[in-house]
Amino acid sequence: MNRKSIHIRLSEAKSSAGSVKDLDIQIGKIKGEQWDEKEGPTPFPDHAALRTWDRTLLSRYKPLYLPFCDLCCLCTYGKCDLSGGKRGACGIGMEAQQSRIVLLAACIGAATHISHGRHLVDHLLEKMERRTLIDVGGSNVDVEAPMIRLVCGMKPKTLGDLETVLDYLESQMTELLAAAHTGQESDPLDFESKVFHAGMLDHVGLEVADIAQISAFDLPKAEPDAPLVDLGLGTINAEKPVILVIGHNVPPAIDIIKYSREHDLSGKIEVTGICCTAIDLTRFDPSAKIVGPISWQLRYIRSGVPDLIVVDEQCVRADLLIEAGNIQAPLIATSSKNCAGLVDRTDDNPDDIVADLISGTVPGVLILDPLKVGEVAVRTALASHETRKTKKTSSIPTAEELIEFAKRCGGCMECTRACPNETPLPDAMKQAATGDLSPLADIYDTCIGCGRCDDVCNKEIPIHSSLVAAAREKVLDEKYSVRAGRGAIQDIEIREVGGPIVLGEIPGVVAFVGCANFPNGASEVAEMAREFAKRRYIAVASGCSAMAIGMYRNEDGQTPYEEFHGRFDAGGIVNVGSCVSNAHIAGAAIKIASIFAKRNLRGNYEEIADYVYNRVGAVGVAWGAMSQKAAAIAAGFWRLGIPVIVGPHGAKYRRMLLGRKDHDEDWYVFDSRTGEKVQVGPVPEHLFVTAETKEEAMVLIAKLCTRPNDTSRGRSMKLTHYIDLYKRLYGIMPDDIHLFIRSPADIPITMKEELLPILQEKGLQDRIIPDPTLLKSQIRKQKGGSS
Amino acid sequence: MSGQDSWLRAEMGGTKQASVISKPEVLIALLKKSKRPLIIIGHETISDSVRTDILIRMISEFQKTKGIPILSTSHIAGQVMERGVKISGVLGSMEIIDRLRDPTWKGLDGKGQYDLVLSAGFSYSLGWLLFSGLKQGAPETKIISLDPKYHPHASWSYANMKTDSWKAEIERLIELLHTENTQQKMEEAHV
Repeated sequence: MNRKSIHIRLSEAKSSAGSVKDLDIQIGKIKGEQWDEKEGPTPFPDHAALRTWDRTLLSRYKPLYLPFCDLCCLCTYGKCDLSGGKRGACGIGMEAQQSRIVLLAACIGAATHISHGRHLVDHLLEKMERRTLIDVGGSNVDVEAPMIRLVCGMKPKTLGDLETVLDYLESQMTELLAAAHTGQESDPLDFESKVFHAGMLDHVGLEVADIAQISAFDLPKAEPDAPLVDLGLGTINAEKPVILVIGHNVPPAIDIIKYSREHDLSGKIEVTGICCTAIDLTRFDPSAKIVGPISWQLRYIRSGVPDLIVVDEQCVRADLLIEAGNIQAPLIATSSKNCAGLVDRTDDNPDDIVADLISGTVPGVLILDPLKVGEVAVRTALASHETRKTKKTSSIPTAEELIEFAKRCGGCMECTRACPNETPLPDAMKQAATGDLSPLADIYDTCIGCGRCDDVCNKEIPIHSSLVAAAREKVLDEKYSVRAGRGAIQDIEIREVGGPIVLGEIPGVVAFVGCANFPNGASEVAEMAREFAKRRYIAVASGCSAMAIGMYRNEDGQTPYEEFHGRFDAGGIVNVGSCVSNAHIAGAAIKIASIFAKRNLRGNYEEIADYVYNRVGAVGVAWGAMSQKAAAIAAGFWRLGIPVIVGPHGAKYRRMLLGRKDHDEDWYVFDSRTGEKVQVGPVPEHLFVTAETKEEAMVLIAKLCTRPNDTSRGRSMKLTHYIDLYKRLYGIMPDDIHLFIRSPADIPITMKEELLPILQEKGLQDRIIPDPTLLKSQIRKQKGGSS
Repeated sequence: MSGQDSWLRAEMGGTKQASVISKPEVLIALLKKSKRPLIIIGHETISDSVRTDILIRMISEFQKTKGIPILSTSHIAGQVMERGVKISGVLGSMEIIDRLRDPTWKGLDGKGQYDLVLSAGFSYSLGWLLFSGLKQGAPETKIISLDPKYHPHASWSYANMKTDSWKAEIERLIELLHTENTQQKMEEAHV
C-alpha cells in the first residue's frame, strides 16, 4: 500500500493578508519513521500477497465441508441444488459455495471488529489530540502493536496513526466482500485463502480497538495483577438503582461511570454489565460488576433487577426492547449499528429525554453521544428505580406459579425440538408439576438462554423464566470473581517464557476464547482451564470464556482467578480482556518471534507465521463459539498457524481444516540449516476441528500443542500430558504415539516401560530434529553449498 | 409428532431426504448388499443412559453376527470396551467423516474404503452435519442412522419415535440378526 505523505511546519509566516505562527500540517502517514528495522516483503498486503502461504497451509490442512443443506439461496438464479456434484446456475459447486459462506461469516466478523475500532478511534479523536501517545504497558511493553507492525509494516505511535491502519483494513474488507458476489471467486481454496486474509485483518482491527482504548481510558497496562472484580447475579445489590450495559463498545458505559463520579453517585448506583462491555468497563472501574456471558441477558433482565438498560453493539439480543418493556425498564441504544427502531434524541435536551423515559412516553431512545448517554442513563436510572418500586417488574414466576404453569405441559416435545442442547424440558416440567423443581433447576446449568423454548410452547408456558424460577437459589448464589482484563503481555514475560515455549518445556499456551454457546454449561470451560493451568501450561482467556472460567469455585471456595496467578507464565490463568483483547494472544505468539528469536516483524508476515506455526505450541479453544466474530478470530489464528478447537456447536461453521496423520507424505518440513526435507510427523495435526466432548477437547489440546521444533525434553513432556490425559479420559492407550516419537529420547521417561513394546512393534525411529520451516526462503544453506 | 420431519425443527435438509426404516428387514437387506460396512458411535452411546444398554447390545450383535467393525468417536472407547464390545478404531467425528470421503483411504484394517456406515449415539445437530458432510463428500456411500430421530441427510433413518417404540424396533433388529445368524450357521453345518 503506497501512501504519500506531506508534513509542513511553519514556525512563523507573514504576508499582506496576515500572519501565521506555529502552523503544523500533516497529510498522510510517513511510513516507518524512526524505525530502523528492515521492511519485509509484504507491508499492507492484499490477499494475493499471502496466497502462497495460505495454500501451503491448506495443502496440509484440507477443508472438510459440512453443509447445512443441499442448496444455495444467495441470488435470484436460485435456489440451486448443489447436491451430488451438481453445479448452480452461476456455475458454483458445493465446496466453493460452502467456503463462500465461511468467507461471508469471516467478513462479517472482521468488519464488526474493524468498525468497532473505527468507531472508538473516531470518538477518541473527537475528544483527544491526534498526537495522544499509544501506551499499552509503559516501559514494560516496547512492542506495542505486534499485529500492526507485522501486517502493516508500521509502528503506530499515536492515536492518529491508527487511522492509517483502519483505512487499509476497510479497503481490504471491501475487496474480500466483493469476492463473495455471484460470479466472482470460484475455487474453494481461494475462498479459504480469503477467509485467512479476513482473519488476519480482523486481528489487526482487534489490536487497533484495544490499544486505542487502553491508551485513552487508562485501562490496565499489561498488568498481571489486575484487580479481581465481582462476577455473577448474586453480587448485585438490587436495593440500589441498577444500570445494565450490554455489548462491546465501552465509551457510553465509561461515561456513565464518569457522570456518576462527577456527581458523587459512585457507590450509590450499581453499574452492571453483560458480555464484553462489562469486561472493558471493569478494566476502567473495578467496582462495576459483570453479570455474566451473553447467555445471561434474558435471565437477568427478566429478574427485574435492572432499572435501565443501555445497549451498544455486537451480540446484543434483537428483542431487548420487548424484554425491557416487560419489566418496565427504559432502554437506551447508543450505536448507529443498533438503532433498535428508536427515535434519535442525540440533539435533545437531557431533561426532556429523561422525562420521556421515566413517564413511559417512549420505551427507549437512541443517543449517539456517549457523554449524553452518561448523564441520561444515570438520571433515568435514579428516577426509574423509584417509579419501578410500585410496579410488577420481574417476569420470573414464583414457585407456586411455576407449578401451575408446569401442570399445563402436555409433553408435546416442541420445546426440546427447539432447544439447541435438546434439554429434556418436558420430563422436567412433569416433575415440576408434582412440586419437584430440581430437574428444571439442573437444566438451568446447561441452558444457553436463547429463549426459543418460549416461542414454541403452545400452552404459553414461560419456559425460560420457569428455569430461572426453579434455579432461584443457584441464581442468588452466583457470586464469583474474575481478574480484570490485563491487556497486553509484557516484553519481559515473553523473554522469560519464549525459550521454554519454543523448546517445548512449557508444554503449551491454551487460549480459551469466544462466546457462550456451550453444549453443557459454562463449567466445562473452567474445568479445562484449571486442568491445563495445573499441568503448568499457560492458560489465556478472553471475553465470555474468561467469565465462564470465573464462574466456578474449588473445594476451598476459590475461583480459578484466585487459585492461579495472572502472569503469562507456566501455571497461570491470564485474562487479557474482551473480544478485542484477543489481539494480545496472537500478539504474544508474534512477540515470541520478535523478542525471543529476534526476527523482524515489519511487514514480514510469512516468515513470522512460519516461525509461530513450527515453534510456538499454542492452541485456541472456542468451546462456545457462536458468532461471525468468533469465526474471524479463529481465521486470524489459522493464518498464523495456530490450531483452533471448537465445541460441538462449532461444527455449524460448516467447515473444518483437518490434517491426515495417516498420510506420511503430508508432514515434511525443510531443515533451514541444510535445505533437506525432513519428516516431522503430524504436528500439529489439525488447524480447525470440532470436539464432541470436553474430554476429547482436552486430549486434542495436549496433542495440538506439539510442534516440529520441540526438543526431545519438550516433546517428552508434551507427550506425557497427551498420553496421561488420553488414558485417564478415554480409558485406553492412544494408538498414534509412534507418530510423535522421533527418537528414543522423545519417549516420556516415566512411561518408558509401557511404551517401548508398543513403539518397537510399530518400528522405533531415530529421526533428526530439524530447524523447521515450510518456506524455501528460510533455508540458510541451499543444496549445492551456497548459503 | 410427525415421524418424517427433522427432529430439530429449524433444520431443513434439501432435495434428497432419507428413506424411513419401516422394519428391521430393511436393514438386513441393506447389509446384504454391502461389501464393507462400518459402525460409528458417538458419545451419547454412553452419556444418554436411556439408550446405552440397548445400543451396546445392538452393536455387539452387529459385530458378533456380521463381523462389522466398530469405530468410536469422542472419549468413550474405554467405557464401551468395558461392556465387552471390541473397538476397531478411535477417531474424532470430523476425522472419520474426512476419511470416509477419501476413496483412497485404506480403512481401519487396511482393506479399503467402506460402502455402508451405520451410525448411532450422536447429538442431533452434530449428526446432522456429519451426515451432510458424508452425503456431499461421498455420495455413493450409504448412511444409516440408528437413533430414534429422523435424519434427512442419512440415506436411511428411523422416523422420530418415542423411546419405547424405538427400543422395541431395535429389539426386533437384534432378534432378527440373531435368528438369521443362527439359521445361517445351521445351514452351514448342514452343508
